Amino acid sequence: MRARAVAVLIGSCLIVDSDCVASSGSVAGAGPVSAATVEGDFVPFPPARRQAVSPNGRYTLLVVSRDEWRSKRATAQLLEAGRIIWERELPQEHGPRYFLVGNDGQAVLFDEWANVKSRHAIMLIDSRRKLERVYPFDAVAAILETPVRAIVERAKGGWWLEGPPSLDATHQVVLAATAGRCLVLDLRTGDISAPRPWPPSCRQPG
Amino acid sequence: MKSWFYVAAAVLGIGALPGVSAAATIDLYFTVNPIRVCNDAGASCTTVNTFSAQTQKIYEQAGVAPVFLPTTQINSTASLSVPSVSNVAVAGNGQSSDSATINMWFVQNMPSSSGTLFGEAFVGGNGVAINTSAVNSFNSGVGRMDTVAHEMGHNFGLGHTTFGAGGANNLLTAGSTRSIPGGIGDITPDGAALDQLTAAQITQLRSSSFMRSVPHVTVDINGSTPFDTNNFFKVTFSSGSTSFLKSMTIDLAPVNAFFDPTNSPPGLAGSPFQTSSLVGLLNSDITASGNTDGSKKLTLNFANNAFTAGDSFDFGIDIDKDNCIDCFGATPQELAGALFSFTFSDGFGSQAAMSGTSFLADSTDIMNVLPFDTSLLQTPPGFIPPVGTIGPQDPVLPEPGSVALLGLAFSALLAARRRKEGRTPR
Repeated sequence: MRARAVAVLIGSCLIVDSDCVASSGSVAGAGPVSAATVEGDFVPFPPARRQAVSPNGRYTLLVVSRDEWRSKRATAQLLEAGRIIWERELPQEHGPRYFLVGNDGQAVLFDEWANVKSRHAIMLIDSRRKLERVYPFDAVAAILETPVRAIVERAKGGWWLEGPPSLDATHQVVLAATAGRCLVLDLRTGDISAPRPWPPSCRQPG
Repeated sequence: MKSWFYVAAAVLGIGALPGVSAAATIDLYFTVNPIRVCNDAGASCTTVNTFSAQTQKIYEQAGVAPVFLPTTQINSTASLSVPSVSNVAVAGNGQSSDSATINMWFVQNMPSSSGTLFGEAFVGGNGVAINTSAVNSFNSGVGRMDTVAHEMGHNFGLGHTTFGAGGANNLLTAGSTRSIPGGIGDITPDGAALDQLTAAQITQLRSSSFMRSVPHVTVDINGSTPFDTNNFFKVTFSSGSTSFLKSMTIDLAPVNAFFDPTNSPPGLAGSPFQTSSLVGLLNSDITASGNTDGSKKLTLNFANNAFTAGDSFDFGIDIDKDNCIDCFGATPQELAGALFSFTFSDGFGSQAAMSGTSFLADSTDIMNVLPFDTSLLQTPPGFIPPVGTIGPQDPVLPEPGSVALLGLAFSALLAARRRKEGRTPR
C-alpha cells in the first residue's frame, strides 16, 4: 500500500490534511478535493539480488538486476562452488516471483514479479541447459482442469500460486499448491501433472 | 436509483447473469477530462491511453459508465515527470471547468526509487495521474489496463483496504498483490473474473459526487402493428431533468429491414414519417434524416432544449423486411435487435437494442456507451466543455521584439473566441 498525506494547493489555499480553511473544500476546475490523501497503483521492486541454494548446497541460483531495476530485465546465474555454470537474461519482467534449484542444478522459475498471466508460469533449465521447459499459464490451467477464475481466486501473488513452491523429500519433484490442488513438476523429465490425491507435503501452512 | 440491484448482484456473484454481459443496465455515468502533457514547446507529448473499453467493462458491474471527454493538452515540461499527483493537480493545469469531471493527467513518468508507481489519485478527491511510460509498456506492451479504473476508484472514495478490497481479483487491491488482466476477456464477469468490486465498494462509488444520472428514454413498440402509421413507436423521456435528447438514430441493419417512406423503389407502397401525441415538444422541434427509400438508418434530431424529462411523442414510418418488400410491414417481433442510439445534451450517449421480450429500447439498458460527440461542445445545456490547450505554468518572458507578434496573436485568438461564443445556440 502506498498512501500518504500530501499538501494540495487549491486556489490560494494550501490544504494539509484537514487544516485548510477554504470555504467550500472545492474550487471550480479542481473538483471536490476534500481529502488530502493519495493512494497509488504501486509495485515495489524485488531485491536487486536474490538467491536460492540447492538442498545439497552444491548449486546456487542467482537472480540479479544489473541496473538497480532501471530496466525491467533480470539476469539468472547458476553457480557451482562459486563458478558460473551458465548465465542468461530472463524474459520475466523484474524476474520471476519464486525460484529454486535442485540437487543436480535444475533451476526452476515460477511466474513473474508483476502479477500477470505469464507466458513463463514455469520455466525449468537444467545445469547443462540441455533440458529447458517452459509452461505458460494456460498450460498450467489445462493440467489443473479447473476454471481460470477459480485458480485466480485462490492465488496469492500472481495468477495461480497459493504460496512458494518447494522440493519434496526426494528432491526430484517440485510441488506447487494451486487452486486447492497440487501441481507437480518432475525435475528429471520436466513434465507437470496434477495427481489426485495430491501429496500432503504440498499443502500450504494455514 | 437501482443500487440495490448492483449490490445484490455483487453479493450473489451474479455479474454473469444471462444478457448482462451483452446489455448492461447503466443508470449512472461520470465524465473524465484526459489531460495530455507536453513539454513547454508543445512537443514530446505523452501517449494517452484511457483503456476505455476495459474501464467501461469494469464499471459496468456497478451500473456506471465512464465518459471520456476530448483530450486537453497542457504544455508544461515541469508536469512531464512528477513523483505524485499532487504535483500536477495545481490550479490552472488543464482542469475541466466542471468540478464534477475527473481530471486525469497522463504524465511521462512518476519516478520512484523503490518500485514502479503506475498511477496515483486523491482518495475521495478529484485528480488522477497516470504514469504512461510504465502503464503502456507493462507486460511486454500489453499495458496495465486496469490502472485507469483503479485510480478512478480512489477518487470515488475507495481505498486499497477499505470496503472489502484486498483480494487479488479486486479492482482496488494494492498493485503489489492485485492480479492484472492480460486482455479485456480477463475482466469480470468473463475469463479470470478480475477487477471485481464488492457490494460495499459499489454502494460507495455510486454515492460519489462525480456520478450523474443517465437520462432515461424509452422507445416502446409493444403491441404496435404495421397499421400504426403515426404511432408505431412511442418515445418517452421519463427522467434526467438536466439534459435534453439531441438525437436518436434507429439502425435496422441488424434486423435486415429498411425504411420505405414513399412509393418509390425499393418498396412501392410506402408510408411517410409521421408523428402524433406530442407532449412537451412541437412537430417543428423534430427533424428526420435518413427517411429515404431503402435507408437502414433513420435519425431524429431534436431542437436544443426541446425534448426533456416528462416529454413524449409517437411516430410511425413504413418499414419493410429485406426479404419481403411491400409485404404487411415489419412487426415488433421482427424489429427485435434493431439498434437505437441516443445522444444527450450533457455529453452522454448510449446504444440500446430493441428487446424481443418487452419490446422496449431503453437508453439505460446499454449495449454500448457512445464515444463523446465533439459537436456537443457547442451545445451548452448541462454540459461544460473542458478547456483547450494550456501553456506552460511558468512561461518564459518573451524577447521585446516578440511582444508585438504575441499581441497580434492574442488579438486573433480573442476574436476567434468571441466568434465561437457568438455561435452558441439557445
